[in-house]
Amino acid sequence: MALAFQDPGLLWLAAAAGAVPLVAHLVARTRPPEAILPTVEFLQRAMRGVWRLRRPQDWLMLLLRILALVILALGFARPLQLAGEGWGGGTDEKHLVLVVDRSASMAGQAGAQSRFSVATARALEALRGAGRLASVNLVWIDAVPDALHPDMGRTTEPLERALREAAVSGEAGSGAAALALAAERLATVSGTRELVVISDFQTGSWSEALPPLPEATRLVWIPVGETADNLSLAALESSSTQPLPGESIEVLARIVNHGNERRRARISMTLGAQRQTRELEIEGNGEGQVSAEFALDPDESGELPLRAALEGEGDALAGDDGRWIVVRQREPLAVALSLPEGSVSEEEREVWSRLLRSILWTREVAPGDPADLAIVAGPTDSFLPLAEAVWKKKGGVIFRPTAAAGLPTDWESGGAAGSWQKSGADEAGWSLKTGDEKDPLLALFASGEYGNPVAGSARDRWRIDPAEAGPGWAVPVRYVDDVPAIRRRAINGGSLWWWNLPLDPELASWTRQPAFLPLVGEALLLSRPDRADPPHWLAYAGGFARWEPEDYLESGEVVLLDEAGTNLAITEDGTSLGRSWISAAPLEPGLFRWALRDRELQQDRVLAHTVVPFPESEMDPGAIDPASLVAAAADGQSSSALAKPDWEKMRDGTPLWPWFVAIALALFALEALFLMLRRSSPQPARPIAS
Amino acid sequence: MADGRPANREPAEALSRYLRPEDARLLRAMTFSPRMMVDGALSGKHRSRLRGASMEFHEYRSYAPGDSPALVDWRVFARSDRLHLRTFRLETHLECHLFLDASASMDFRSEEDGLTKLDWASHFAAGLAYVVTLRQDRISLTIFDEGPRAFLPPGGTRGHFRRMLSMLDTNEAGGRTDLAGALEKSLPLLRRRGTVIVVSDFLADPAAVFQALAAYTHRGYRVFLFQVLTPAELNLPGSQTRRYVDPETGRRVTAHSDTVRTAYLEEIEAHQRALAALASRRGIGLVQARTDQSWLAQIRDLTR
Repeated sequence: MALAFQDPGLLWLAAAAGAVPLVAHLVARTRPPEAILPTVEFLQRAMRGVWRLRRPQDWLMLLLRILALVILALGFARPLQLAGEGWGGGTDEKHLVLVVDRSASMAGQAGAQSRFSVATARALEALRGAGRLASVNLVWIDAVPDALHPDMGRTTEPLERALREAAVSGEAGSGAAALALAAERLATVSGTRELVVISDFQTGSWSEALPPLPEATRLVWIPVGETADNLSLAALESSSTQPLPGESIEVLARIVNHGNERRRARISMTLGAQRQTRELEIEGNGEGQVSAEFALDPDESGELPLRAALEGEGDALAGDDGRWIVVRQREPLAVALSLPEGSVSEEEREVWSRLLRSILWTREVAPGDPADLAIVAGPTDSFLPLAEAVWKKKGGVIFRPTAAAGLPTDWESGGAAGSWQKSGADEAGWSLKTGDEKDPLLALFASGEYGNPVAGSARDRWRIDPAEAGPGWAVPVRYVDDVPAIRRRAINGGSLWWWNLPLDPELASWTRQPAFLPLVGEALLLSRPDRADPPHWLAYAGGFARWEPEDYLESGEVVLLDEAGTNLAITEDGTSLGRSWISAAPLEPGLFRWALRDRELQQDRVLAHTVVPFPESEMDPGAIDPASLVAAAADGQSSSALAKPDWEKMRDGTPLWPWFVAIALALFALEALFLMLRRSSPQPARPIAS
Repeated sequence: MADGRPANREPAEALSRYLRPEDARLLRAMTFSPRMMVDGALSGKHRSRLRGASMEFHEYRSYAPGDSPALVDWRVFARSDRLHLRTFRLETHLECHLFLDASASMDFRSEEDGLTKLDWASHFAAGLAYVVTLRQDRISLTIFDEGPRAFLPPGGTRGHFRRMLSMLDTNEAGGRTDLAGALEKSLPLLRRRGTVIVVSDFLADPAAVFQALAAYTHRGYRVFLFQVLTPAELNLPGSQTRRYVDPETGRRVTAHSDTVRTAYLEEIEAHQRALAALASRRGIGLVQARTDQSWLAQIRDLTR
């Protein structure tokens, strides 16, 4: 039992109080009233025999008085009983493992301080109040729990130091994994084992089944923090993280209300100099989403972080109020035109070229150059290598059927065949209609802002039996007689468009419609090859960031900076084929920037970004009742004396001053009783017979 | 002062501080006890154990060499031709030697309005002197502490008695007690054998006292010891811690009366027993009195 005093300055009072009876005793012994007695010699002789007998009683009385006064005075110093011989009980030597949660949710508030601060403080108190320890260890609750000592440690100093220096990891927590690691450490020792788990018991960290524990293990659950309302920015997504020049992106932010009350959320999203703010009401335990559209400057290049943040106060957890994604404007799509002479008219070829030049995010390349898209016509042999190269890049090939070639049979599922049709010059041709309103190609036109995509007609087409269009084809646009005008299917990882619409203005009136350009543009957009986000854009809390530059780096030093501009340790990975760098320490949620530092100019040029999102499992501050864990552990364990310490008393201590006063009064009463006994039965005064 | 009140509060017609007229009237009826009969050089009211010249015939006995020829009854010799001596019972005066302890320890009383031991002893001495001188017996008075401080030779007249009363009235308690030394030093002052009465608290080494008294008993003195103590000395009353001061030596002892009472009483009892045992062994009378008892009763017992 540890004893402390709230007013230690009053301890001098106890010392003074203890001296009072001693001084009084000495003074009383030297200053009694005087009396003449002729028989002093006899008295003196009597004293010699009596003194040895009486002295112990006198000292006992003196001791009682001193004790009573000292204890009474100590009561004024407001004594407290602090943590005792160990929270699990028992006074024998034991092996102790502290399992302390430092997952992201531990950054939440617990009163005036964070849950983690409370947890480490209580862990230190647990360590100091644990009594006699044979061995100790510390296991952190992380995504991947780790122990301070590979085996059990002998002294508590490293644990105390680690607890003092520790910080919240920002990772998701796995209580079960941490317990398993602690159990593994405890299994290496024999004797009394004690496992003290200090956590907020956040739902996400304790959802897994608890592992079995070694025999004779006392398990103590110590909850910290309380359930509080929390608004979380659960997700941030963009319609495209690599938009084409001029292409706007739509950003969606999903907000989750983890409280029971309806709350208003204010979200700001920032991309470069653009900032947009949205507000919404979210029901208790519900979620909502907001969107914002950003348009990148076509001249912008390189990566841009897009930040969304929840604004306002009264949130339990600040870490999940911000989120990032990285966007990068890609190069214009390289479109190769393979329209052999004779396959399409010169006018149509000119239309295609003009069209590619007029679209901001396309550029025409020669058929031999690498291309993202291809517009082909004519015999298959003439464009097959090009098409396969595009498909290899998961791009799209727009095949333009002509009188010379409708479609290679092996590309046509079901082996559909058809015939070339050409109407007269004075005829209106075949008008168009919507084949599938829900097709992505037509999504842009749903609002009507971009015109009617099926307005106009064509006088030159390849006719196939609509019933034999073949499975796997999507037909967004048809002719009025159901002959497919535009159809699309996936092939070899890419897409294949069967573009049965002439672009020669002489042959088709739809090219003069307002919707012409958007329709072709949409087709090209849908045909563009998907480009995966670079792996360095995303890392997970507790993990490591790795950056492998796509381009050759000029001279300079690669550095990794956090949001505050602090330089983080990195190491260069020489094992990979190219040069890459890895963060030396696990990362917490946030935005990190890879930069090339020019030491001479003292400038950092940011080249890449890494986003570490806040783990979604840690966003719900709701805690499970440790009692359910107690029950779960008890069911699965062969042992485990489970207890939950009274934290109020552990933290504040048990006031002992009433006990001190009571003990002092009891001692005074005991002294009075002694005095009464002595006075009520004095030595009888026997007269001497004369 | 039979009721124990101080003599100095007696009316002006008192004979002395220590003998009031009413006490004297009571004493007049008392006669000095035959038990206290002693040899007297002068003929008196008391028959001596010695045969000698007097008016009262005692017996005839045959002459023995060494007898005084003056005692031969020549008339008997004329009739019987035998030498007979005619003896008479010798009438002597009582010779009483009173020793009064006036040391500092005697100036102690148990209660505020009680008698000091010296007061009590003075009353006793005055009364005894009155009784003795009433029969024309002789009494001397020796006041001592460390040694003889005042001495009044034996006398039996009224004037002698008044002088004795005057000595007692003017007597004050003195210094330390040396009872044995005082007795040794006083012996040469006594010319005739008689009764020695020592009034003291006898808070001294009993062996030394009786060693000093042995000189008296060997010379034929009959010795009576009157020990007077206060109830306080005998009981150690009260229930508190006190610093007890010895009036003679100034020695101080701090003790709680309850704490030491038993042991103290044992010490006092042992002392008293030692006195009584030695007195019995030496054939010396010992009377242990207390200041709260009547001195008149003690004299009455003495003269009975």
